[in-house]
Amino acid sequence: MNRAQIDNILQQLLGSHLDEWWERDELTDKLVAMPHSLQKQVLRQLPVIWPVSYALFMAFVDEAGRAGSCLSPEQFDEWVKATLDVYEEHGLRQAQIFMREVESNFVCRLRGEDGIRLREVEGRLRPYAIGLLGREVAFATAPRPAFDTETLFLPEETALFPGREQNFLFLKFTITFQLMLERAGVFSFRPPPLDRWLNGFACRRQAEELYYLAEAARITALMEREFPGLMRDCRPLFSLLFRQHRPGGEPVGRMQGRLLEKIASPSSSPGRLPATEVERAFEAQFDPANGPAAARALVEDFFSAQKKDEKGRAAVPLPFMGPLPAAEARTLTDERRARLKNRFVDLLAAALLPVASAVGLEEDGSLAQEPDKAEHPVGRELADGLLMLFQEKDSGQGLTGDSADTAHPGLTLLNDAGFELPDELADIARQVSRAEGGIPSEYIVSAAGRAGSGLAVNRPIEGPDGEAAPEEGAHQGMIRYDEWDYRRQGFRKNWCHLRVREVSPLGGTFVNATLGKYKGLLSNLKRQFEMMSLRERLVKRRRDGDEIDLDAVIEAVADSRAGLAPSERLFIRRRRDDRDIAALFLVDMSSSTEGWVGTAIKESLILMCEALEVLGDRLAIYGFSGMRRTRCEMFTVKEFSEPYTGAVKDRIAAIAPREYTRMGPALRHAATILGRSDAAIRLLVTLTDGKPEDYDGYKGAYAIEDTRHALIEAKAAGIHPFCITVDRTAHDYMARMFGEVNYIFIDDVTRLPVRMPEIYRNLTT
Amino acid sequence: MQPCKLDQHRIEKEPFYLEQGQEMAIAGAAYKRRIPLLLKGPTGCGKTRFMQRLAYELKRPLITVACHDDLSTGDLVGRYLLKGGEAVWMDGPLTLAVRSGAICYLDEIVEARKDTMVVIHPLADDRRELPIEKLGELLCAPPEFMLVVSYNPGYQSVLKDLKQSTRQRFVSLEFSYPPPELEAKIVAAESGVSVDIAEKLVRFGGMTRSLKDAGLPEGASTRLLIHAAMLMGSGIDERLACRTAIIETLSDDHEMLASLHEMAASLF
Repeated sequence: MNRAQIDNILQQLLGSHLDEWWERDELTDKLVAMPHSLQKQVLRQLPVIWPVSYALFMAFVDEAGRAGSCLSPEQFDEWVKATLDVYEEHGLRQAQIFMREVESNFVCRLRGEDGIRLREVEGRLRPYAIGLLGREVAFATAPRPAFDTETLFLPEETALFPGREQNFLFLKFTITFQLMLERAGVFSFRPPPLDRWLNGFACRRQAEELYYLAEAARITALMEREFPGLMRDCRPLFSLLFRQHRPGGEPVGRMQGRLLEKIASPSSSPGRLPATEVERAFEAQFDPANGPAAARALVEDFFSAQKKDEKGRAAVPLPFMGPLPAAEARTLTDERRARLKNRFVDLLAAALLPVASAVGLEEDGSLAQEPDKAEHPVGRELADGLLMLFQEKDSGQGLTGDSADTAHPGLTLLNDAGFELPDELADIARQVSRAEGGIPSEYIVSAAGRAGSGLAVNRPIEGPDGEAAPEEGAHQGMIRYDEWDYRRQGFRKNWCHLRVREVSPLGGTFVNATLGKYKGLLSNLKRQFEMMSLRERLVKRRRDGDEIDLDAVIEAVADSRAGLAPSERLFIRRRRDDRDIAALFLVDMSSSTEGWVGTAIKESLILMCEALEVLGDRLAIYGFSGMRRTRCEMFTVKEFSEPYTGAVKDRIAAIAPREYTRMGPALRHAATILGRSDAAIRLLVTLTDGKPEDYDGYKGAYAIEDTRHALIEAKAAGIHPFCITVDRTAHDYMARMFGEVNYIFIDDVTRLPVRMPEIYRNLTT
Repeated sequence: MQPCKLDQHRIEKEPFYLEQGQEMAIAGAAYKRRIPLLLKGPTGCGKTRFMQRLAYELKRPLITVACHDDLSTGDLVGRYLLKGGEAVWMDGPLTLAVRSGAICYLDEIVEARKDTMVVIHPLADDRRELPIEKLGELLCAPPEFMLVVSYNPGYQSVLKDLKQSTRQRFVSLEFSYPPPELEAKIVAAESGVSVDIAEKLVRFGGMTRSLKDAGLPEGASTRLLIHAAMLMGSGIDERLACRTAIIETLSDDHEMLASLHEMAASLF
């Protein structure tokens, strides 16, 4: 295009504005100088950029040549959009830089070569972290990586290296390194606790820097031993980091360099003699056999040799090392230890109670007064025996014959009383001994003492006492149910008053939104469930059928030759498996299900209804809540006989959190409803988010025992109870209430709608 | 004809088995006292191997029946067959075991049909007898005979549960994955790899097991670890061996596979 044509186009695009624009000639000059295709591209962007900022447009014209040479026309548009984003967020200067560095800022990203975002890879790396640590760990974003023993903080984006693969690998290294901090005892080593120890130095910043580096050396050496694959993969990354590292004049900088070098090539020796004392000590840190004490000694030596006022400049930390959250880690570790101790003592005391009563411990009055001190000689022997028991368990020998022979009075005592470690307790004991390096004897003494004084499990819990027996006929339309009182090992007659209520349907978009949201999943589910219902089976030895059962015929002939009356069942029939299943879903509508949990439960109910429509299993849904024993409520969402209609959908949508969780009467009523069904298999699925609890003292052991008893009653009536719980911290009592294999955890609420049909399928095939 | 058939079930070479607790002593005592045995535990943790070792120690033939949902009474007890125009009675594995005083091991008993399961009831209490309807015979088990059944309680399916009337006839032994040091020894001994590699594999196994509630239905069994070790012993690359023998076997979930692979890549 020549000058006149361009002028013409500019005139059309900008109209009167053009005359006021003093850079007009300059712009035209530049455009004329461009190749024809670029001219068109630039002019096409003019109405996009110019209204935003003409200065930006001028800059754009300057850089367009560079971008045009490496971008396709579509990418060019994208690039302009990205530039505008940068301009709006960071201003003209940044936008100019962004445009100038089109190669690194844009082209690489297009090729997927830039950094990786934590969000993209979290799904892949979180199970990795859980596997490594052996327990749950949360991920959060922070500018620099850190681990406070419960949450792993990681940068939102890792873009240190040119390639995606490399960045991923580096992130994985960072995660492994941070998790190893705990495994290596950095946070748990005491006395004194790390944060107090660090605070004791004149310059805490410098002490932390030095200490962390010294520990990093030890930990990478540990990793070299435990994760050789990872370290091998990471070597090229670290030689790159090492080459880029500028040590500066400080010893810390040089030690950082040495750490990088050592990771890059583990067999390397320091290039020259270490310049200072601390560097020589640092070199000795690359030894997995060291403990945290060695690193602390290094720091202490350094400070004692240092002149008072000398303060080094802060070094830039290495990219996989952030701050050291010593105080947070201590608090969290202590909390975890206290929790573990309580659980352990509770469980052990409960397990010991029968033993204690067998040896007559509880009759000792002095023990009851001092529950945490087993000064009674039998109590002490018991504690000794337990200690040995756990030590053996720990050393992997278990309760083998050899050790039982070394007749220890405490052990014999336990053996005589038929003491057996419950699974849960053994599991906790393992955790305790991992955290504490053995079972501290005070734990056991405390449990033995508590068992001795007859105080199992935190002195359970006042029952709903002191209330007058229900008046006859006081409530109309109420169904009465007994409640189990474990303390008296008997029922409280007609204790709970349950009323069945309707849920008023709630029209709205919830159902349709759910169906839309899980469209893909739903069509998969329907197909899978269809296959379940269509599963055909060949039934052998029928009186009539499609084919002859050859085995049966041969047998019949043989039988008749042998003089027996031959069987007449000689056919094979192709038969669809009758799925004679009735499932009742009992939904916890307590106030704690407010929010996400409630939504996830409703969504999964809708998915279940849709899927079971295909399968033809009978389905009923009830909700429950209430307050006090005199007002337990059941909400009918869908009865067995009711078809899955719009009204049912609206009622599911109307399920909402209400009051408390008194599970016993709800379970009993659900069992009664299921009992009326003639299905061969009757399934009672409870959906809950935590412990049973009511306002009037229905909690703790009382509530758990009542719920457990209600479930046992259901089982006795030929019903299979199963519980889906979205609570993660409630392991011990869930196993007691439902039985080891009769419940499942959903730790991530958002997965519930996906998991529930899966669980149902597993349950019924 | 039958004695030679029975000889096939004898275990001549000592099977490798490391004891986790006192299971051998308990099984031995149950055998002496003629009580049947119930083995519980997850798949691949050594139940079958334990049986082989037990049979070897007791010097009895071991007759194993893998139960399935089409297993009929005739399959266990026996039936008439035609041979050269003549009807010949053929003992089933259970009858064979009772007659010859062998150990009969019914693997995964819950998979069998409910009516079939009932056949073992008179055998599993103090009567210790097996009625054979078609022969009109009532077999009494000799003192050497032992009945052992196994099942995996972790299935969580209401259709696959052992009835109380069945389970309350047995002495129950629970099996779980062995503790790490022991498991490493087992993996090393079974596959011939070095203890170092075995330990790494066991660590990998432990990591997968801690994911049991976080997305995996079941962690890697000892058997899987041994498979991987065997592949490694045959010169397959370590990571590839983990991938094919363990990771791909455990899950189909894309992200979970990736996570497991990262673990293997860190260890090897």
